[in-house]
Amino acid sequence: MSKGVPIHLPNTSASPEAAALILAAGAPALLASSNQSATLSCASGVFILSWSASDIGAYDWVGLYRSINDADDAQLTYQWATRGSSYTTSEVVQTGYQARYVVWRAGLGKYVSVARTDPFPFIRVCSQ
Amino acid sequence: MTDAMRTPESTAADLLSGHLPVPNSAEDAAAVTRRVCVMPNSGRFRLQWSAATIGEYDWVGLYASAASTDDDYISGAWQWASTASKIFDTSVPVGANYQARYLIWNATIGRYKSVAKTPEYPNVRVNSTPVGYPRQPTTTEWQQLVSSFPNLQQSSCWVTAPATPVYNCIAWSLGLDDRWLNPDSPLSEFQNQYQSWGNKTVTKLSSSATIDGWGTSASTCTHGSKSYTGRSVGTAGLWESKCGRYLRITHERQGLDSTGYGSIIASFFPGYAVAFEEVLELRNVPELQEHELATLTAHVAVVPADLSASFEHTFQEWKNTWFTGDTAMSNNTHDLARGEAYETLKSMGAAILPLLVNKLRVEENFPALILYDNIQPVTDLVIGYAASDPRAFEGEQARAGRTVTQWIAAQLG
Repeated sequence: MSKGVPIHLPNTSASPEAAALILAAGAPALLASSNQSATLSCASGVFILSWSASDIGAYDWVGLYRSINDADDAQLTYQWATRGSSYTTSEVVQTGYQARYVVWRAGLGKYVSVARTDPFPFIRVCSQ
Repeated sequence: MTDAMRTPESTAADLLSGHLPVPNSAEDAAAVTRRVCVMPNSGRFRLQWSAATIGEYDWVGLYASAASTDDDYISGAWQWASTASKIFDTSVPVGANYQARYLIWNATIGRYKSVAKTPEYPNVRVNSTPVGYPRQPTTTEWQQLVSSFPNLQQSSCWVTAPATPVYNCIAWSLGLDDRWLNPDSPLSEFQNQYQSWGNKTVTKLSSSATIDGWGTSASTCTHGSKSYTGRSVGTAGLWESKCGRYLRITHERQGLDSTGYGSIIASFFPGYAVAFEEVLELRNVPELQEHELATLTAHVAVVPADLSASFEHTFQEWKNTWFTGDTAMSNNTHDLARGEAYETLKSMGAAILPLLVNKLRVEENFPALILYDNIQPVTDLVIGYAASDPRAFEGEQARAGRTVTQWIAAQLG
């Protein structure tokens, strides 16, 4: 970022898309998180995202995706990683959905996922 | 009363009073094979069933857990088994512990009785794999692994996550990757640790087990591994272990037999008894308030300068030995309570507590909690939980944080 250019870091009331625009415009270097992970579970019929990382980055987020083939910017819903450690979505449990931990990659100028769950399984439980 | 208006309760009353003919005897019923299944459908439970012969008043129901009585089905979540589709979509949202049952009238006891039950619906949790994993170990990694685990087969060994001091094997075997959980010992306590989570002890090396517990003897438990459920690496039936601070890897079931980990001494079938979201929250320890920090700083300041300098030097020496040499793959911070530097620190006694508490403020120093536990003379200021207490799953990092808070509170009176 050149000196004197007033780039305002996004606050996390912004969406990932809005944050990406500001970050791509040349926001200051961000502290990078590491050992990121995401977990997908369910309760009361909806998906719950939970996550952890060492030194969570200010603009890291966790997203829910319809499919493992969806692009990183095709999240159905998201939560900023700095906001707690779990997020109950309103997305109804469906087989094949995926959670991802997503960070800003300044070198690429975009958000990329660094940890992905396997697709949510279809589990049928039967008597013997 | 029309069939559409019948409920299990009204039908039971009519069968008991003789208003309806008894459909079959319990003896006949026992000979008939019946099967019931429960599965998700658009976020709600679907019941599906089959039977060689379906009685006119047989029904299937959904229950909140295996502990529910046969009468205690979830309101509205039942259907006559004779329904043509043999499928019933309930309005019950998908969640853990639910159970489906197939019930028939038992004339001998004069009530409906379940003759087929599903296991409880599992708490489905899908963990992530870092992008770029699983991968084959590098030459250096493989050499380090095989020097610790001589029985490891290279064809079965994939790195599923990078090295990190944040979590260890016990945490990972329970599906947690944000905290360090020391293995309890002896074996009975180790089994309690897993059972408190909800897992059931099964025969050692049972094919139904999904978690194995390891030890060098029944008195020294060392490690936990779980069946591998991550992205396919082309080989079925692998197991997975987080090796102390080191890598998370796949291996054959007994592939980690070694002097360090010993061998498999217990096996467990998965189950969930804890409130998972609450356990996740336990990891979060509130930051110190300004007045708490000031109190700690004041206590640190009055430690004599020579003791403080000696502590700093020796603490660093001790820290440099953590998870090196024969503790490189250790999953237990108690293994670090040894060596010259540790003994020197211990001999300094309670006088170094302010300095040690100050160290414990930094999360990466959580293994030093073992020194605190051993030199703190006031037992009330040492945090410990029974295995049955959910707080036992808060992890060593959170226990360190709470220890700091509790010690400062004691100084404040």
